[in-house]
Amino acid sequence: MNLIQIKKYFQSVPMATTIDVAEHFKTQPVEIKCYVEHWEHKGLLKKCITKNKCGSCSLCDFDLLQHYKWSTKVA
Amino acid sequence: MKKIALLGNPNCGKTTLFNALTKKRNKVANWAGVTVEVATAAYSKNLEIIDLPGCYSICHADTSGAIDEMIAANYLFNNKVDFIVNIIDSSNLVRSLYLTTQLLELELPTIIIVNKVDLLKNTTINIESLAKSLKPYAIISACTNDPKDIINIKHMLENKMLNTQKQKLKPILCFSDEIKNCIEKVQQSLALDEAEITASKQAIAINILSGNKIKNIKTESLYNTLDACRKKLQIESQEDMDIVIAQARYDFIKSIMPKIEIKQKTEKENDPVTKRLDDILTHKYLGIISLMCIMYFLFFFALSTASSVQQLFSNIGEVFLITGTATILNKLNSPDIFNIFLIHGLGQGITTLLSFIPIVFTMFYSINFLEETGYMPRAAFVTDRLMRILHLPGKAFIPLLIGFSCNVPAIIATRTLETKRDRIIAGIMTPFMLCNARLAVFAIFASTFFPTYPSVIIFSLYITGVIVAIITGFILCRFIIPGDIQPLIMELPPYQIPKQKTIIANSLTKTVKFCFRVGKYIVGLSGIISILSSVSYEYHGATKTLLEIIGANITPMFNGIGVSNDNWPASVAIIAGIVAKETVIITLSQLYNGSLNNITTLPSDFWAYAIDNIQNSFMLLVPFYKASHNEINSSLQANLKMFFTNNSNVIAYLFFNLLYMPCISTIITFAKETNWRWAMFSATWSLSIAYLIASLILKLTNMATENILVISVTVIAIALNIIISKRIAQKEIKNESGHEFNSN
Repeated sequence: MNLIQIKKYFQSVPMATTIDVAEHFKTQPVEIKCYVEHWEHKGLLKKCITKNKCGSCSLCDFDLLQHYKWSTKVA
Repeated sequence: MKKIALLGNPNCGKTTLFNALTKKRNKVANWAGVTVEVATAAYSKNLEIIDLPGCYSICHADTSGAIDEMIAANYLFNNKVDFIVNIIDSSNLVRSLYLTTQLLELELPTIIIVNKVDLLKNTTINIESLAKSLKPYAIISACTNDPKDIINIKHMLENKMLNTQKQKLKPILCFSDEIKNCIEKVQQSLALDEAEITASKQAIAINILSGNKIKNIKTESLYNTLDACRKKLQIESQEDMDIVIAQARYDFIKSIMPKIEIKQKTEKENDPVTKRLDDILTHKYLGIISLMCIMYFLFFFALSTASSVQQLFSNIGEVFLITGTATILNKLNSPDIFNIFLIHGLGQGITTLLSFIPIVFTMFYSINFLEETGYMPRAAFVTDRLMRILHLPGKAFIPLLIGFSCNVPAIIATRTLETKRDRIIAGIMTPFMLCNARLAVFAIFASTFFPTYPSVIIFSLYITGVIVAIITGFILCRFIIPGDIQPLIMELPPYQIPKQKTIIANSLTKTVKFCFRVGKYIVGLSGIISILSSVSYEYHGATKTLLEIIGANITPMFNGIGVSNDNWPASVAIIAGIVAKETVIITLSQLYNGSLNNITTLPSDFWAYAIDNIQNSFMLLVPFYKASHNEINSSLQANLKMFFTNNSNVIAYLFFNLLYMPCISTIITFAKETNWRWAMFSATWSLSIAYLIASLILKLTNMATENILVISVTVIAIALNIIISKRIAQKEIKNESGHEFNSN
C-alpha cells in the first residue's frame, strides 16, 4: 500500500475514514494515517463534516473516524 | 553570529525548547499553528536560535499553500543557517521522520530530538536503532518540559557546535537509482551563489525536481533538464514527481520503522477487567443475552426514574400555561380563536413538552452512560455477528445504532458504507429504529396504559423495530438487490468508569436541543389547529369544525388498526407524525383538549389553586404518598384512557406508530442520498409493514374478523412493493452497470 493506491481508493469511494482505508488494505489505521495526512496537506483530500458519531463518548480516536473526500481542486 | 534553526511538525514542542534554551516567554500551547512567524533570540554571545513555524514538509508543493509552512521553507532555502535542531513528535513518528528525511538532505549539522516520549502509550522507541539508521546524525530522546533533559540538550548542542568542522556529513538519500540520476543532472545544471544559500545543491535539486519554486533561484535555464527528468520518471510511475519523491521517502521510513517503534501489549490486553467483561459481553450467545438485559435495564431505569417527576412537570404546565393563561384571557374577554391558539394550542403543547422532559433526559442520560463505559462498540460487534448470519452488511449496524438517536444523521451515516447497494439497504432499514422522537410518544402511552410495566412495552417496541429492520434487510439482500457482504472492523476501547459531570452536561444539551426542535412544531401546529378548529361547517346535519370534518374523513383508513371513528384525533396525529414524530403526542393532547373543552370552570383564587396543585405534585415524589394517591392526574393521560377503550387497540396504535413511514426529513435525506424511487419504496414499504403488523396484533388479541380484509390488502401491498423495488434495482443495475452499483 502506498500514496498512489490510497489516492485511487479515495477516488473510488464517495467518502471514507482512515479506518475504512485500513480495512480495505487489510492493515492498521495508524499505518494509513500519514498517507492520508500527506494528501490532506497537498489539498487533494478534504475533511467532511459529518454527524455520524455514535454519541458523546471520547473513547475512539476521532482522527481515525474523520471522513475524507477526494477533491480534484487544490485549496 | 552562528544560527541554530529549530524545526519540526506543528505542536511538537519547538517553542517550549526555544523558551527553555533562550529563557524567553514566547506563547506555547497544546495545538498546532501557535508559532506562525520566525522568532529569534540569543543563546550565547555568538549563537542565535531561530524558532521556525511548524511544518510537515519543506517542499512548498506539499503544503497546499499553508503560509506558516512556506515561511519555514523559505527561511531555510534563503538564509544562512549553521545548525539544525529537528524536534520529532514521538507519538507521530512516521510523519515527523518524513520532515527529517528532507532536513537531512540539506547536509547541515543536525541534532534530532525525539520529544514527548513520556506521553507514549503501549509503544517504546529504540533510540539506538534510530541513531543507526540516521547515522552520522546525533539523536537524543527527551521531554522538553523536563529541566534535566534541557541540560542534556544544551550539552549536546554545545558539544556538536564545537565539532561541526570536523564532522563529515554523508547525506541520507532514500531514492531509487533513476531518481538519484535525475537529481544529479539537475544538480550539475544549477548555478548557485553558495555564499547566500544554506541548503545543499542536492536539496535544492530535489525541490526543483518536485516542482517547487525556491525564492531567488531561477529555474528557466534548467527547463530542458527538468523536463527530460520529469518525463522519464513520470512515464515510469504515471504520477507527479512530488508524489514519486514522497513515496520514496515513505518507503525508506517504512523500512526502518519496525526496528525503531516497538509496540507493547495494548491497554485493553493488559486490563484484566476489560478482558473478563469482554469474555461475557462479546460472547457468541451470552453477548446477545447481555445486550438484551442491558437494554431492558436501561429502559427500566429511564422510565421508572422519569415517571416519578413526570407528574410534577406536567402539573406545572397545566397550572401556569393552561389554567393560568385561561384565567388571564377570561379576565380580558379575548376572542375564541385567540383562546384556542393560546390555551389548547400553545399552552397544551408546551405542557405536553414539559411532561416529555424527564423521560427524554433520562433516556439521553442512560445512552450516554453506556457510550461512556465503552459498551456501545461491543453492542455493534455482538449484533454484527447476528447480521452476518442473515447475510446483511455488518457495517450497516453503525447507521442503525445512530438511528436510535435520530434517523436523519443515521441516513447520512450510510455514506460510510462502501457500495451503493449497502447504502440503499441500510437506508431502508434505518427508519425502523426507534428514535428519541417516537420514544417520547411511547413513554406517555406506556405509562398511561401499562403503569406497572411500561419498560416491557418500550423494550418490546425497540426489539420489534430491530427485528423488522433485520427482516427488511434480509428480504432486500436476498431477493431484491443481492450482492457481496462487507465486513465490520471496529476498535473495541477499554472499559472505563463514566464521568457523571460529562454525561449530565451532554444529556442536558441534547434535551435542550430536543425541546427547541419540538417547540418549533408546537407553534406551527397550534396555529394550524386553531385555524382549523375555528372554522365551522354543516356536516351530516350537525355543525362541525373543519378539523373534525377532516378527522372524520381520514379515520376510516385507520379503522383496520383499531382507531374508532370517534377517536379521530388519533388519525390526525398519525398524519401530523409524518412531519415529525414528536408531533403525534402533541397533536393528540391539543385535539383531545380542544374537542373536550375541558377548562370550563376556572378557580376563583388562582394562586391558592396553583400552590395547592404544585404542593401535591411535590408530595407525589415521596414514595408512601405516591402509593396512596396513585391516580392519573394529567389531562392528556385521562383523555387517552377515554378514547382508547382497550389495550389491544393501544398496542396496535403504538406498533403502527413505530413502523409507519419515516418522518419527512428522513425521506428527503434518503432521497438525496439515493434517489426518490428508493425513498418512495422506503415510505410505502414501512407503511405496508406497519398496517400488517398492527392489524395482525388486533386480529390476534381481539380475534376480530373485520380486519382480515386489511391484512389481505397489506400482504398484497407488500408483494407489490417487492416486485416494484426489484424492477427498480434491476433498472438501476442495468443503467449503472452491476459493478458500479455494487461499488459506489
